[in-house]
Amino acid sequence: MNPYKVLGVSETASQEEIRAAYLALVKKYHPDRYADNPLKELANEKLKEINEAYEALSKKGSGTSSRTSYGSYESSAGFGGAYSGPFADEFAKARSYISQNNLQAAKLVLDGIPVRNAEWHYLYGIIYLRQGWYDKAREYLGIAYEQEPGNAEYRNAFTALNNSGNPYGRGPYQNTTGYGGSCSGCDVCTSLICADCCCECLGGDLIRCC
Amino acid sequence: MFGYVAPLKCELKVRELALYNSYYCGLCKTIGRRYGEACKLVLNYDCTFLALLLCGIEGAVPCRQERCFYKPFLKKKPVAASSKMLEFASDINILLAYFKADDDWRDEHKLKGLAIKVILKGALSKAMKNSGDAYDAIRSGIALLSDLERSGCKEPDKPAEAFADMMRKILSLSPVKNDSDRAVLGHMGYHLGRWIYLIDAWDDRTADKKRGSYNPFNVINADKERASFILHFSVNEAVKAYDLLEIKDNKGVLDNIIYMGCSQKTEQLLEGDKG
Repeated sequence: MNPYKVLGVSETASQEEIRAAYLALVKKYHPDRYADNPLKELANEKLKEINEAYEALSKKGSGTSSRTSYGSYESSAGFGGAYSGPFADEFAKARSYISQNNLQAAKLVLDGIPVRNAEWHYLYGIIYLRQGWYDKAREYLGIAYEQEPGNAEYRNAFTALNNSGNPYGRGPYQNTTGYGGSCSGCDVCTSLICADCCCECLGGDLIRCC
Repeated sequence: MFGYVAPLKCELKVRELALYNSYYCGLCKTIGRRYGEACKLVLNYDCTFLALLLCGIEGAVPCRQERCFYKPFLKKKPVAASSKMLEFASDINILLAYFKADDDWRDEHKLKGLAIKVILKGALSKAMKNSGDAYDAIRSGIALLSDLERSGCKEPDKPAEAFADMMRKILSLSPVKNDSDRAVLGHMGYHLGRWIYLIDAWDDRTADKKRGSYNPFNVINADKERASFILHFSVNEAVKAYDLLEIKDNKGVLDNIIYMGCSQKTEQLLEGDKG
């Protein structure tokens, strides 16, 4: 494996260039972007490869690199759920089928539950999402959110779904040049203040006046 | 139904456009050689994209200077040499065009459909011999789709899935070496297929209303916002799959089509008519 090739940088690239390329790739293959996607495993493998390449290159660089790479982790969207209402056992069963990607079995369980509450609509929405029926998925997740607007899980799912259905919503990664990805004046200031605080913690100082 | 998967030309570099054109001509010549001159008329952008993509994964093919049969007085132009990938794309092009024409003729009695059917009659049996599995996938996919359309299906996800599934099968049959690439291609095909079916439906909805033919957006009275959501979602999923492919060549033009061409087309058609 050629780490330069994996990160898509030239062999003369500086540490900063390598880091920037690395961060862009982490965004591109981030597990959150591939949650609910059958290609999750492949994206994870890719991320692992990128991490290894970055580690190899940062060791080679200063030798005292304290920048650690992102561990390859499972999607942060776990599928536990904290539902406690009627038919809790059945809903738990449906959830476990969904997490095993056994959508047919999950559907059967849900069809057998007579109540049509937020949890029911939410789980059905997730099933539709996994099988690629986005119109239905949005309808059902929308109902779940309406029935229980206070539930963070339902709300997150609905917002995430809507975000990935907008023109520039390729999750965190955006390739169309000209939109987003810019660094505002605010970002610069907060970053500087942050850096100053870090320096002060270690006994140095970046911005004298504060 | 064809011609939506195309580059955003104003963002292409000159050499990328030349490369795109060389594949377009290459596919045209391959169709001519394999199926006869008359069949060149069904050549489309979507299959050009397929040829570019497959050659991008397996390695680009060399270009030769050749003259166009229909423009004998113009200078010779670069034409991508025929390869297994272009042959596969040419088979798919013929099969899709035939079954689409067949469907048009049976459902709506379009004379154009009948004409294409007649022209492609000989080519069809050759294509069946060359790519038997693709033939089965497309025939059963279009049959399922037209059943759903005839029954006036009220859920746009269902006919879109029939078309998408057909595209998944087609791309999973691609002659690429790596199995995992094939799986990713299948997934990408599924979402591109969804997008192609739905964008075509959106584009045709006013004409369909006038004619009284089935349209998934008309049966649910979908507004622009709802259409925008499913269209963009499908494109974004296809982009995710594309990101997992190891593209060796043709990257500039492929990136253009996938990242810009499709979403730009979506925006343009969503904005385009206010109906």
